[in-house]
Amino acid sequence: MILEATNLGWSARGAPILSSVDLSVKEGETLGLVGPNGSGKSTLLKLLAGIRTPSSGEIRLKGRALAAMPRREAAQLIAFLEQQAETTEAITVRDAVELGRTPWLTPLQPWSEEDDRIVAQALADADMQGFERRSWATLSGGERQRVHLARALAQRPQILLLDEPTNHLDVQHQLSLLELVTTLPITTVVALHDLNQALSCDRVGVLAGGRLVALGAPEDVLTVERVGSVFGIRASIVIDPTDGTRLFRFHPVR
Amino acid sequence: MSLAFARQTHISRLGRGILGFAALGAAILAGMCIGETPIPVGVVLQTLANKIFGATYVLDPIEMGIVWNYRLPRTIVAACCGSGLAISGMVLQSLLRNALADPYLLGISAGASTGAVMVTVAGLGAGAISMSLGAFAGAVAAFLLVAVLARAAGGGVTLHGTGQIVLAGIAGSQLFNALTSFIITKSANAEQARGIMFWLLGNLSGARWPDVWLAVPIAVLGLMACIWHARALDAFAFGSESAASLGVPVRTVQVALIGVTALVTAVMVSIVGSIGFVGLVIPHAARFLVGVRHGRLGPTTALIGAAFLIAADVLSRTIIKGQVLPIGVITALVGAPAFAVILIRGRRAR
Amino acid sequence: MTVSRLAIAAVSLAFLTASASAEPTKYPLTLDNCGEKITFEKAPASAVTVGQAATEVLYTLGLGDKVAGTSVWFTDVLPEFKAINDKIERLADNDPSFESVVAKRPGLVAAQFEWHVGPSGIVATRTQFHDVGIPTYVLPTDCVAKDNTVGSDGTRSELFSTAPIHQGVRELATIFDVQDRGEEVIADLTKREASAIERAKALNLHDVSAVFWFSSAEMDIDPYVAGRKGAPAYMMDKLGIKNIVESDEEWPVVGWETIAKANPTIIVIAKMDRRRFPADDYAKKLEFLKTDPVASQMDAVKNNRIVVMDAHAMDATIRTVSGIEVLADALDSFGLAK
Repeated sequence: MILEATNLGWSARGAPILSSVDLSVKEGETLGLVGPNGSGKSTLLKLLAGIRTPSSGEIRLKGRALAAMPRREAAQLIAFLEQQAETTEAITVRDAVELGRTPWLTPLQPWSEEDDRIVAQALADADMQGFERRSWATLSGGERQRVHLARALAQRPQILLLDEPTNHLDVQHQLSLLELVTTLPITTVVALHDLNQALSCDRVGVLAGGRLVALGAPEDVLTVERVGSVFGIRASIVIDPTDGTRLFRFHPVR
Repeated sequence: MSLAFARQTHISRLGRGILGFAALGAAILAGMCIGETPIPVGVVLQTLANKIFGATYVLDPIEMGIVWNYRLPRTIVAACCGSGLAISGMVLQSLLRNALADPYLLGISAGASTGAVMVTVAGLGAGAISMSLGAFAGAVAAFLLVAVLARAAGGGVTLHGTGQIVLAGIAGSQLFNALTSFIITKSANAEQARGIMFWLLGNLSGARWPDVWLAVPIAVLGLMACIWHARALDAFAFGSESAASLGVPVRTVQVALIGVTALVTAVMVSIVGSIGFVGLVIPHAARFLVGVRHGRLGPTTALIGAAFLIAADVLSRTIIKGQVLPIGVITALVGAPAFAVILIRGRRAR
Repeated sequence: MTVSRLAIAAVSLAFLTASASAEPTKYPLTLDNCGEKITFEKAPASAVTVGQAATEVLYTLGLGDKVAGTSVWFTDVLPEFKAINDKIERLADNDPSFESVVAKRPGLVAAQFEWHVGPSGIVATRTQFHDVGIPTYVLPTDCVAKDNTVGSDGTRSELFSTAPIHQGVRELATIFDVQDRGEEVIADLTKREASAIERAKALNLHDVSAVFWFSSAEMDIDPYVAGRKGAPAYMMDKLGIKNIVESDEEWPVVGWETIAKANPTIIVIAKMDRRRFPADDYAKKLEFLKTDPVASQMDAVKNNRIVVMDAHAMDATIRTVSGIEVLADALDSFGLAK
């Protein structure tokens, strides 16, 4: 159990956004989080990343309390990719990705060639080589998303938390990102909108109304009944004749 | 495109540092040579030789005194003030993610002017407290009020608090500006109002060696804080949550940097009055020249700020013969068109 | 008495009555004063003053019993008027409010500066007073050949002269129908001024320069010094002294560097009771001159050629003449005669 959340809760101005969430993330797995808008996915991820303090409950990272850990140390283990991270600065792609090395640098351990290598690798993994000198303002939404991914990868974390990373991406990049994320030998927790993409995760957690209502293998958790009750839609399973994989097809509720 | 020529030509860090110091030295020398009255460069150099190296050139004591006791301290204070205000502006712009932030955002300048008029116009302290001390007290009081207000508004120095800080700063500034106006209109006659005006627009003419011993350490403190936190400041590029995920202890860094900024600004304002535009425009000029990475941006901002204020001070004394203009007028007159140029060229560069 | 003495007495008497018999005022009296026409049906029964100079003119004219209230004081009242002044209510040390002036229901408001009672008057505009039936009189020293919209203290278009001071005395005397006294005062001022100028001429000065230091916003900051056209400039001009300041403003700010470089022969510092700026205190001014590393090197400081002068004499008032006398005395004592 690399990351464990016990009885996690978070409220804003008295209204509970998240309550009584118990979640254990296994080392090396890819855990998908699904749920309708407002179910608390982003909040849960931010709490797991340690950038918000829970109102109740606690999180343990590799057995140690996350709240007690210095930010720097936590950032060397966990990288977080926000849903929307914008800037008005005239920052270049390379500058943005280099930020990922921040937790590893100190005034006494300044930039080295190793860092250059890591940044180059991260750019390649995110399919952004050649973009180094481009200014942030000239990038499309999808390109910006991939730069953020490169930054997270440059952090060389052991746990990667991604908040709806496929939002602005075209189909090709959506698929390649998911493939990258699932094949990386690191633990990944990824919030997704697309239930079919969630099917390719090792485990799936379903959030509804701030509670974790199901957690387990995709075929066990994402049943037609559950999908219907949580998302308010009708789903039917379809089998792909070429390789037998299960897919969802969705219909609105009449 | 930013002029990243340093990278391409591989000037080492040490080399850049030496270049920077040389540039600063040249600016200070220029500030000593150019002034209200013409004094030959030779006299300036000989004065320096006499005072620093114990040489024994025979010089007119008045000229020597002007160079060593008037011009040199004033130039050094101008450099410290320019760099301190510029750095403070840069830090606030980066921390608060607001390109229009300037060191007076936290209510400091407004508080300082209130403190100054309370001492001179309302007669607080009955002549025992100097205007500078009153200004400093006012600046600190205003900043504390703003901090408390921002905190109470649910913001303050937490992850989501930047909007609240800006609003609290505006509220605080308005309050103290109103107090200043109230005191002036209630008690002052034209001459006092004029004295205050001169102070409110910035005035370096009273700077002497004791001011140098105060200004230099504070300016150095500001610069050092900036350099130490350069990476943290870079990490704020995508917001404070992003910075936290990159391992920056956001609250600690915000408190430390805002605290240092407030201290530097309060001290500078109490020494020379409130000089506008420097904290707002110089960081942008520096960004245009060397890019957004704070490791380079910090020292560049400090250097440009120092040179700018030295030049503005010299201009304020020489533009009208035999009379001294308030320096805030010069910084605004020069700063505004300069800002316009930066905006236009910056857009074309993209 | 002998016949000759009787004759002298008779002639003197005749002479005195002749010179002293100025015509009584013909009412209704209409005057042009600083751009406004004011009319009097009769001599005002009472007056309120806004400005020490106006107050002292009225006192000098012997009209102390008609003054109902005074305001705007820069220094202590002239000692000869202390007894009278003590009996009169002081509405404000600084600027009075419009209502406090009107409450006295004066027959005239006499002001020293237009920025108190004038087009941008902070007490009131002249129209405001005229609307409630109170005529206002502004001393001509503040508006003759002076544009008060330019420069912080106004700018004169020509060198000040004592003529407007006399004009103010004469016109106020006419308003109150005490023209005899008015002419006496003017004669006295003229005589004193002439004799001071004579003494200065006798010293046969060459190359004497001066600067008048009024005050500074902070002790070390650049000082307010007298420009080329105000009362101090007049004094210097009449006594043959060169003003090192070149600005035409009344009290421009000039850097100590410029003053030190110019190295004036004498320095005149202002003595006043106001204590708003630390430099108001002439003792502090002296201390600065003696301890500042550059100012202390000036010839005037090293040779102690520093003159302390009543601040109010540096403004265009009836005290200006005593300022000239103080300066002439000082020149004498400094041994600058050639």
